[in-house]
Amino acid sequence: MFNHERETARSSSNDIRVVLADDHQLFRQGLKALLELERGITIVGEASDGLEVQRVSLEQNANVVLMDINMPIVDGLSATRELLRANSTIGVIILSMHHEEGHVFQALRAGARGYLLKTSRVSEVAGAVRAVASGLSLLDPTVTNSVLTEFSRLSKKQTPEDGLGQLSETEIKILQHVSAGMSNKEIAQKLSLAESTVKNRLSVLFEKIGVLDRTQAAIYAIRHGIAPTTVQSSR
Amino acid sequence: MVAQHPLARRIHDRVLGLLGTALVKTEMCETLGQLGRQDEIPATLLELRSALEQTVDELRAIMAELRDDNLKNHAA
Repeated sequence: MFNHERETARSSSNDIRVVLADDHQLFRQGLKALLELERGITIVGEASDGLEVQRVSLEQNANVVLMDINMPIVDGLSATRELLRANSTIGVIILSMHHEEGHVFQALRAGARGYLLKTSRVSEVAGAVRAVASGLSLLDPTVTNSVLTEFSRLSKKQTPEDGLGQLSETEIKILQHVSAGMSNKEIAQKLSLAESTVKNRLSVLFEKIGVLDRTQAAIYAIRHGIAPTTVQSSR
Repeated sequence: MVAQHPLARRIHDRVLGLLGTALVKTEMCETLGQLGRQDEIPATLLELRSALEQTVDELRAIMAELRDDNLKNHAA
């Protein structure tokens, strides 16, 4: 696996400039020693917390950052967000012991272009560094499945039109009253419900039809012919 | 960030972190052997042992804490 090319790896100006961010010094040290044997990769800096990694990466003009999630001062996900805000061309690869999908999704939302587990072999980490430096993205095979499952779930998520058929009779009445400009208190009085019940039912209703607030709900009601005639005709 | 139980956080931050270090050290030994740099292996093995010893200590401490928690729960 480790060949002569690897042994004679020397840094050059064309190398991928990598910063390591992890609060475990021995881990960083070992990873650095191994990655430096890889052709085309130079470790230009190290950081032990989420603030330091931002400073070092920008100062050293890093191409790729290998970032742990759990770090002191600022965690790796926040550091990723902040770093990419300052320089969006840097490729961040999360290198973590966490394999839970929640962490993976948060990492991707933060802008990370790679997610690897610390159980990966260094050759895999080096491959990910090269992939991300060339503009690609890479996920650890053990977390890919959960990402694909989530993607599939989101693809199947109901459209607002699908939500219409799911509304109960009461929810349709609430929607009609919302579109007529009534407050929760007024709707509660009208339907003989507690105001808190109306508020809760509205939250569920918003989710079912895929809107964020009562204005969007009113527009939805008008578009779908649910709104009272007086409101529809006034538009 | 997802809220974690303090013990779960400790297992992650300390135990898994140390095991991650141990994994890197084993790979270093393997690589040094392949590169013919055998003289550097003993020092790396010492670091590997140190990481594993710290892992054992940490797990013992966590287990003791879990036992205490159990006792408190039973007493309650």
